[in-house]
Amino acid sequence: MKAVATILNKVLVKEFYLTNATFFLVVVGLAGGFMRAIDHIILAELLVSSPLLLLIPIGVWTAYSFKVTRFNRAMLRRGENEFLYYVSTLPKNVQWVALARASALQLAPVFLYASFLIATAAKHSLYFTLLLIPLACVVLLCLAAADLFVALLKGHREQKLSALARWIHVRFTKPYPLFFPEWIVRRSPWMAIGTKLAGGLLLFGVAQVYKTDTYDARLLGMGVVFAFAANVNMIWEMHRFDNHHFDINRNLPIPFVRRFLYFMITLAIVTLPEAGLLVSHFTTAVSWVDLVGALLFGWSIALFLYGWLFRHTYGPDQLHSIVFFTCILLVVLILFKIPFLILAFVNTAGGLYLWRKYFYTFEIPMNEEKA
Amino acid sequence: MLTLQNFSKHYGDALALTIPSLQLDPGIYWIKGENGSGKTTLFRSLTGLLPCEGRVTFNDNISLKDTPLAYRRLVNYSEAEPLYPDFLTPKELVRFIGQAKGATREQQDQLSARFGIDQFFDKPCGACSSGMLKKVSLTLAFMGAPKVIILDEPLITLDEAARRILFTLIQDYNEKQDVIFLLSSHQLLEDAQLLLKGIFTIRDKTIHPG
Repeated sequence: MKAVATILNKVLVKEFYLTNATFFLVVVGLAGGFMRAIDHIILAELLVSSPLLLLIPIGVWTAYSFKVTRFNRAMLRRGENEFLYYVSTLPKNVQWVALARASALQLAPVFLYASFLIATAAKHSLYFTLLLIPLACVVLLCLAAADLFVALLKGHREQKLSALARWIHVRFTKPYPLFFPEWIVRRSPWMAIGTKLAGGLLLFGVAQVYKTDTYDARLLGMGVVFAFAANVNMIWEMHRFDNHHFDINRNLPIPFVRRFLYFMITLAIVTLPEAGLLVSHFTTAVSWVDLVGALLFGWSIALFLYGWLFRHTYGPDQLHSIVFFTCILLVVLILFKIPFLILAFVNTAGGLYLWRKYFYTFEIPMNEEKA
Repeated sequence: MLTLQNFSKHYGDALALTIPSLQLDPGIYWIKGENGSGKTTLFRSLTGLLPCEGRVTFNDNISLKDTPLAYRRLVNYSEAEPLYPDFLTPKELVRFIGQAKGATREQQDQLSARFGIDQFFDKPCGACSSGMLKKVSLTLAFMGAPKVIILDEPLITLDEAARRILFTLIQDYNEKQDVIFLLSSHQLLEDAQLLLKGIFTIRDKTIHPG
């Protein structure tokens, strides 16, 4: 039992915190830097004041739990962690205790903040909330442990094809630009959905502002910056897919122009929701020139980030800081009324320059697993 | 002729492999070496999958660095343990890589039939065995009109019939198309009845004849 706990701690818990160190630093930095102690207390009192508002932290905790389960599944997919599947041969009660313990350690930040909310609720004698918070924690813990249990149980099972899938495979040969969209939907569906939801909601919100107030195209430009920059993880995954997971691609004599064309088609598919929202919600708010410029500008941000990754072998967390500063710079330029088409041109030129210059000298760090 | 001059490969600051000079005429070469000696590093560098220092040229005028597209048209590679995205089918890989390498549809289908991968053409790679994936990888290595074919551990997970097909293909491509083959294997290649032009051993971070 102790051996299992030690192994799970080393492979899943410790690695989870190491991998997400930047994320936790940002959270701690934001919480400690922007909010005073009294602000935290006021916020906690607000959150526990009604079950509806309590859904906000529970929603955040659920998202965090998804992050945990996604991480665990990714770790189990790694070749060097295959031995973990032996855990599924242990007695069920031993498995559950070990997995729940590991999951609880990964969910520790949730429990810490939950304790703070419980203390706040107790102070104000909010008994229903007092019941709801531990219940949410227990449910999340059970779900995380159950997900790990199922992942260990069903590892290496043979992939069975449905009749529809077989029919499609026989009649349709997937072209390269569709490789990545399918890859990302299968590999990180929650990330794909979350990214599209975040970008879509942001643009939708901007569209609502235009309905009630009069603004020039700069507001749309700012929305586009953040909506397309929100795709940063997708761009990182696209880069890794093209150059690592499907690295035979780098041995192929594909001219640069065609590689660029493949990239743009893939990007257009991946950002279809954002493009659709722009076309459907902004035609009356801004001119067609601005609208087309905004779309090209959005794509150029993605292209710039893609090119940047050939120059710097950053992990997704490291890339976030680049994205942050790029966004700030772009917003400032937009405020100074630099036209979208010029910004799009500069981003595109920068991205293509980095891509072309560093494509053949780029190398994935040795410690990165191929999936 | 494949020529290496002042070739070296570093991982960070650590030297992995250095080859001051090496010339390979058309023929079949067996590259030997202990695990971790640098065989795969050499192969991946020569294929353009890893950046390296020095000069790698084919027939003096086609260079890995100066003419990367022309070079990649001539150099094909099969990995020791090929790994492809789970959802792709061998057909999709053959069509995409075949087209990029300039293989006609006829050649794609012929090679696929030769290795028998047409039997599971529409089955996603995730549902294929390691032997099946190895056959896919070997099929891809013969696509187009390569002049250098690099096969890293071509015999592992391969059944007897597929081995015979592979040896026949190697012999054919070498005799009729003057292809340079670089093979690494821990199994004895002398028994494979391949006419070896040379044997090299990688040790102490460089390559030695014999």
